[in-house]
Amino acid sequence: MQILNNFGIQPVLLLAQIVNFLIILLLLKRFFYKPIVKMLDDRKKRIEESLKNADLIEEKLAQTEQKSVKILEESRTAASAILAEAKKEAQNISDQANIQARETIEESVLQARVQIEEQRKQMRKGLEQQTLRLVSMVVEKVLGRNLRAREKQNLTRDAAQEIIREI
Amino acid sequence: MEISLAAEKIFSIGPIPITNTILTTWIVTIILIATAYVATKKVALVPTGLQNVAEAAIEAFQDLVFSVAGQKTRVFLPIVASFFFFILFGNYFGILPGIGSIGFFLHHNGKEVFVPLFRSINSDLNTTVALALVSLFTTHYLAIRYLGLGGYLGKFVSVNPIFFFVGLMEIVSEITKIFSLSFRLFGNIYAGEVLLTTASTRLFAFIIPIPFYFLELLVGFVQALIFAMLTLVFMVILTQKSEH
Repeated sequence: MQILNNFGIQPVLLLAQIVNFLIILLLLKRFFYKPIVKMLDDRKKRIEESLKNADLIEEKLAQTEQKSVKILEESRTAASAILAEAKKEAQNISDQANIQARETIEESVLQARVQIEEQRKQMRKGLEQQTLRLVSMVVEKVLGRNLRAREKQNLTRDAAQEIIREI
Repeated sequence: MEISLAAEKIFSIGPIPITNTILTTWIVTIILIATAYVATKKVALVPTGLQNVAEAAIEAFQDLVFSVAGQKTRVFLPIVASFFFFILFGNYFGILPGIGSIGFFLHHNGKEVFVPLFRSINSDLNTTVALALVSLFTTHYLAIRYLGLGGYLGKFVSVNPIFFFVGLMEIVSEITKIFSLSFRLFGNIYAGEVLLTTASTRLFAFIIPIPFYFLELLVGFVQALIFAMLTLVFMVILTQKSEH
């Protein structure tokens, strides 16, 4: 045991060092490795999740893009359909309006024609009467005498007819 | 200046002698625990400062242990890493200026003897033997835990005469592990101390010791790693189921 003595080995010191190291071991295990290893694991998990999420998000984005393209296309076709219908309707309305307007015009033309005809008839009647009166006055003056009623009437009518024909 | 093989007693608490190595061990322990505490005070998902260093070190160590121990990493890592960090801190603390050079003179057997106040912890055989014992006992404890008492004893005792002899050799080799582990570490660090002390005497004290300090930085790291790795390998071997 001279060697042990030379190296200064003492059971008490040995025990002290062992206890000291065991304390270090326990403390480090509890307060150093455990939290750090846990943190490393957590981060690893987190990164994996994030990567997975990123993939998912990308996929969703692609889907959304497709969907939006589809919706856009649909709305475009719908819009063109609506436009075509509207055009048709407008054509219809304008056609109808045209027809109506023509009818109205024709009607009013007809009415105007009838009115004109009536006015002409009235005017003619008035003219006839005036002419008759005028003729009878002229005849009275020319003949200087009073014809019999019957003669007078005949004469006047003939003259009037002649005049009317000339008119 | 001469360095004695044994650590010098500074004072004693009751019957317990306190050597300069014990004192240094306490300081190293405090520094180590304080560093660990600061590194993990606020463990955040986004690491900052010392947490970065701690994480990098532990992750590297985890990979290393995993490559050897596989599924047992969770159990082995704390033990192996503690050996590494404790020895590394001790070795590096030991080459700080003032360690081994700050001290006082004592009259011993009529001669004046220089007694340093601090001494590199692994240049005392007490420390290294203690570490080796802890390493060995944890290894055997883990072997019993993993294999059961029967499986554990089956590694050393066998009815078959050939394997009986092999088992005997195994027992001897387990005992020699204590010596190989402790003397390797002690020898390297003690030699380093002697080297640095010799290189730093009188005329050589300037500039010349610098390469030796770099050498000691390397030795301190390598020895810590060797001790940890050997412990790891012993653990893996002893916790494996024997095939025969």
